[in-house]
Amino acid sequence: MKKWLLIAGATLVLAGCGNSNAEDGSDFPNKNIEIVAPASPGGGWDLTARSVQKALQDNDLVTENINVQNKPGGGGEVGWKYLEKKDAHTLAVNSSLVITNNLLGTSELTHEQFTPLAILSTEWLSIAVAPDSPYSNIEELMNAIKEDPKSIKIGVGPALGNNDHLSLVQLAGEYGIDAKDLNFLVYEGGGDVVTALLGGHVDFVTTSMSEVKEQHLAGKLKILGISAEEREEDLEDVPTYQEQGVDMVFPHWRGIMGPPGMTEEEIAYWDEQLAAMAETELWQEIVENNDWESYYMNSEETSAFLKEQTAMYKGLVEDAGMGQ
Amino acid sequence: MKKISNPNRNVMTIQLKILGLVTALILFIVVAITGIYILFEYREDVADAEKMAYQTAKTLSYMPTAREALQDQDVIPELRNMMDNLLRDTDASAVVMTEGERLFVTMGDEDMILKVFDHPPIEKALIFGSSYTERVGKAEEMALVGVSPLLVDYGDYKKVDGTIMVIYDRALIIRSVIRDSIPILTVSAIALVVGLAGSLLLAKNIKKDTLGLEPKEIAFLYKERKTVFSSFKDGMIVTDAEGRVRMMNPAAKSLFHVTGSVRGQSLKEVIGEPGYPFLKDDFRGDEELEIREQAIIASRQDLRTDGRRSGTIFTFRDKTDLRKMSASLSEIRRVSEDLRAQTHEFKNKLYVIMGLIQLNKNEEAILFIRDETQSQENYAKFVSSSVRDEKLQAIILGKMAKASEQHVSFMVDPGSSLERLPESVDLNGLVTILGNLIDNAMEAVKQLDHGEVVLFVSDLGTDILFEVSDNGPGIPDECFPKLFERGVSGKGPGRGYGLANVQMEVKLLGGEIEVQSDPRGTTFSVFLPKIR
Repeated sequence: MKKWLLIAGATLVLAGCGNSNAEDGSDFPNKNIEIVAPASPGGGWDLTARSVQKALQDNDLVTENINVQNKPGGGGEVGWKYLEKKDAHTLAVNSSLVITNNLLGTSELTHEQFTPLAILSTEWLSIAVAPDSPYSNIEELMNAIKEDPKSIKIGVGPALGNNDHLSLVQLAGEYGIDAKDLNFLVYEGGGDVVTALLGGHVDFVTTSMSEVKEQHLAGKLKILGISAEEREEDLEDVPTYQEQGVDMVFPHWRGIMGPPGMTEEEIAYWDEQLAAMAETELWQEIVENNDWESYYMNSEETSAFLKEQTAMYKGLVEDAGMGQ
Repeated sequence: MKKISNPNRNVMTIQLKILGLVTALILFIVVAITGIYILFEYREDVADAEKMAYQTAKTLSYMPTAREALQDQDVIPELRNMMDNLLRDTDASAVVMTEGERLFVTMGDEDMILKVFDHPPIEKALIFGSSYTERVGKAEEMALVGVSPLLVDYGDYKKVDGTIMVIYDRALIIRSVIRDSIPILTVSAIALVVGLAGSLLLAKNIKKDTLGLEPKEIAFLYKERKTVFSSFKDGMIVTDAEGRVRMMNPAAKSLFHVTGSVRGQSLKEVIGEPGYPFLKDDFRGDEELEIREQAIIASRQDLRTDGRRSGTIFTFRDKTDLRKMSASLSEIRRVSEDLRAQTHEFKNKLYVIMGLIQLNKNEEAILFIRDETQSQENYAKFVSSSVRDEKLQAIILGKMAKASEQHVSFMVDPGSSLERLPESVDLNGLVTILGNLIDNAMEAVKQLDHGEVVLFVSDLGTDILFEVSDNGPGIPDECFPKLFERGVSGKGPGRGYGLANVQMEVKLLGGEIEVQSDPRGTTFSVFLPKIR
């Protein structure tokens, strides 16, 4: 009997320890938070990272210090590799590159090596032509390309394989155009692309809606369509691709992820804080000012969304690779 | 035993067993290790080739010469020269540059180029501007292709105008892996041969150690030895050189009152008494000793291997049985002796009768015969009326004859009375007890003029009583304490078993023996319980 009492006692003590451990776990976070922007200061990723930092801190959602770390290189790979070895106090901003880098053979990393936490915002992509362009809608433009693909120069930047480029490959695919025939001129960045269009060096451009919105409103160019689900508030006259008969919505999303092997408590913590942040006025304002759109998904939804996106991009790259 | 007489087959089996096992083992290890080595080597080489193809393609695509060649025909020879050098510096089979999807400049293995160009893996480079490696073709004809886009700078913008493909032939990689594997294959083969030789040696060595016997035969011999030892009535103990028990058969165990396994224990501890003479190294030959009240003949023989003592065999023969046999033998001899005495007596009487008849004294002869017959009958009548037991009657009559021959008076006390003796008292026991006591008594009074031995028997009460008295000189005082000890006698060497046997027999029957002795005579009284 004594033996049993001893064992029972030991079990109780152990259970007690277990409880105190759980309490330690709920102490998370217990040191400075780090948000990795896998790009140089000034880009979309950097802006997203700093916006999250501001929104979390100014709304007192996270009491710990939050720092933004810029780790540029390799289309995000340098920053994400850095994240891979950190604990749940470090997060990194991401985008569809976390999927396409691997598909296009530029990186070994996949999104599955990390813990998805949230999708925060999205931008929409657009096709724009010069005001005096002979093409007044997507269909006319695509038919012209189909007829003589080499004659129509397309402005894109800063590199092939980004969402601006991929969305057009998908769009052309919908019209049965061989992606190999598309005549892409690759410019340094979004600004250069618009300049090229304004200078008449290209026939049309594929770029973020925010890049061409002002010029469209000023009448210096014309947006033929956007990849969103519905028309934009400020651009009521611009129809979506879907309205023009192409069953295609193409978000240019940005999200946030954590290192591999996060505990459920840690995931729950960030789910709570990031959901609360997405609701704050400050965050809404930032989204508004940057011509983004709120696109919040929690950890679980993000996980499913990434899977879906991976399948979509895989299809896109493989179909194009097959010469369709 | 048939097996042992067929040594040829035995050699085959033991060697085959070891050879087969060791060979299989070595073969397995060698094949496994070599296979794994080759597999890893192959994988590494393929990975290296892929990496090289990728990097070479990428490097070449960055070179201004390659980009310029698309616009300026004059640069093409320089490009060819560059590609040629590259082919020589690397293991690549071919380098291809395309303009769009069309071949532009090629260098190297043309078959390879044509094969790859069936389905050139350049779409991803052309469309998405990415660099990568692809495997083209199937199985043996597979080629590893590194692809990189040619991003030509047009000032304000860049454009993918073509691709670079660096092609590695997988067959060449496999060939080089095989070439690299020759040393390890050689070593493996040597290991196999050494292993075979080793196993042959091992088999030979084992064969030598087992005197050419198969393990099965050894097991059989072992069992046989055990059974043989167990079946021995004699005790047998085998020890090793250090005196530890290797074997102790059941007879030896019961002799020393040992139970259970004693294998490996020191013999001295097992026996529990270090004083036995056979434990000494110089003990030789058969010697009789007393072990736990049993007469034992112990002998000891050393086991010698290569001239050194490697063990000792002890045997213990129980003498008790032997002695019992000799005792009953002497009883029989005694009975026949008694008969002989009787015969002698009758012969004497016959001579008297013959003499009387020859002298024509027929009347006297008839008288003599009648007297003799009368006295014989009377005595016999007396004996048979007072002593009803026939065994006892026989003994008394026998002793009577012996007494008259030795001129000793042997009487049965007139007060004697005895019904039948119980079954437990057999003739042998009776002869031992009474025969010895009466003989001793007669021997004591033989020298006297009027020697007299009286036997008194009675079965009144719960015990049967035999009393043998003589009027001899009595037992000397110094003999008294050792009276019943074996081998102690006042009669000289080789004697002294009589009284010991009497006592043993009385003990067996659950009775007691008492002695009274003074210079006027000695009386032995034996009490035997009627019911045991």
